[in-house]
Amino acid sequence: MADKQPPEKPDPGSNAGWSALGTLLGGLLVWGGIGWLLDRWLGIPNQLGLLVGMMVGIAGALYMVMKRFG
Amino acid sequence: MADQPFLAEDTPFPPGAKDFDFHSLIPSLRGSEWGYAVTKLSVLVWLAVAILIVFFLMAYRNPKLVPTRGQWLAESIYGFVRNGVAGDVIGQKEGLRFAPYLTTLFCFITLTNLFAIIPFFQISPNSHIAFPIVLAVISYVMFIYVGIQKQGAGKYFKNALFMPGIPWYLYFLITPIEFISTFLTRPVTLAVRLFANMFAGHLMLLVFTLGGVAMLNASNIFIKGLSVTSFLMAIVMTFFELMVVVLQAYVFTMLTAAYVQGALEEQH
Repeated sequence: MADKQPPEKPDPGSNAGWSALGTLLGGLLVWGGIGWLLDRWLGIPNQLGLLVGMMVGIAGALYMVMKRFG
Repeated sequence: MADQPFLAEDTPFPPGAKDFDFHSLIPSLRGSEWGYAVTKLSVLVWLAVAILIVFFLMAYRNPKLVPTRGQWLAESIYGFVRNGVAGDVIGQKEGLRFAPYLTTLFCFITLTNLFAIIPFFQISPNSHIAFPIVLAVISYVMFIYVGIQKQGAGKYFKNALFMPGIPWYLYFLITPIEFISTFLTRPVTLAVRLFANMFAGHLMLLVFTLGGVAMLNASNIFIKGLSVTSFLMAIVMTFFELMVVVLQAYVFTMLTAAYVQGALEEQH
């Protein structure tokens, strides 16, 4: 076996970080996307659907991250 | 000042995405559908494959109790991925059977990334998105396959999409997010992270070296002198690239292991 151990232990926190980032991105993408589609479909002015969708998405994603890692 | 150009006309500056286009190495194939089969990049990929096969075969062909240098290097790399990634992330019990694949992945990405800073190669195949996409697809198919194999399709997708322990009405909010983040952003970010790092690194080296050449060709003596700074920056950035090369290979391997671990896990 190697006589030298790898200098630092891999940090399991980085996995949680990437996973949380993916979740947050997913939240923005999905609900922002749904809001944007509603904008186009119903003709909502000022991209209100996109805005509300992204807020809902980020709230849901934050809830998931808190539930999973908190 | 304004009517006197600082830069020579023929110096290709600034660099751009066109610097990543490579012609076919076989002139008669240029422009045909096989034109991209033999380019500098595909040759480099084959070269990496050949180097890895030869290196590991040589290192393990005649193992000694007191290892030779090649054997020591091969064992160090394998031991690092086996214990540090497969064992620690996936778990000692189930992780070790993924160690060979993860080691191969780590070595292949490190080597192909390293071509970005090896003189005369100076380009990484991973700075074309096609190559990271293939690697990401392998990881993607693998973690889904492993999850279905371990838990069965129904149970795997239920575990992946429905987070336990939350009120039922929140599933309307949460499940689409879970779906996108697990089955869409995971492979996309895996491929794009590697590609973007290598693309940006190559572009940065081009900016500083070509910028140095352009400044050297300038008519103004002060700008000529300042080109030294640009070349120095190119050298510094090359060492910085060395760090990025290893780090990105490590991150890719680590995340593949983490996804496999997530698929093997019964509950989140």
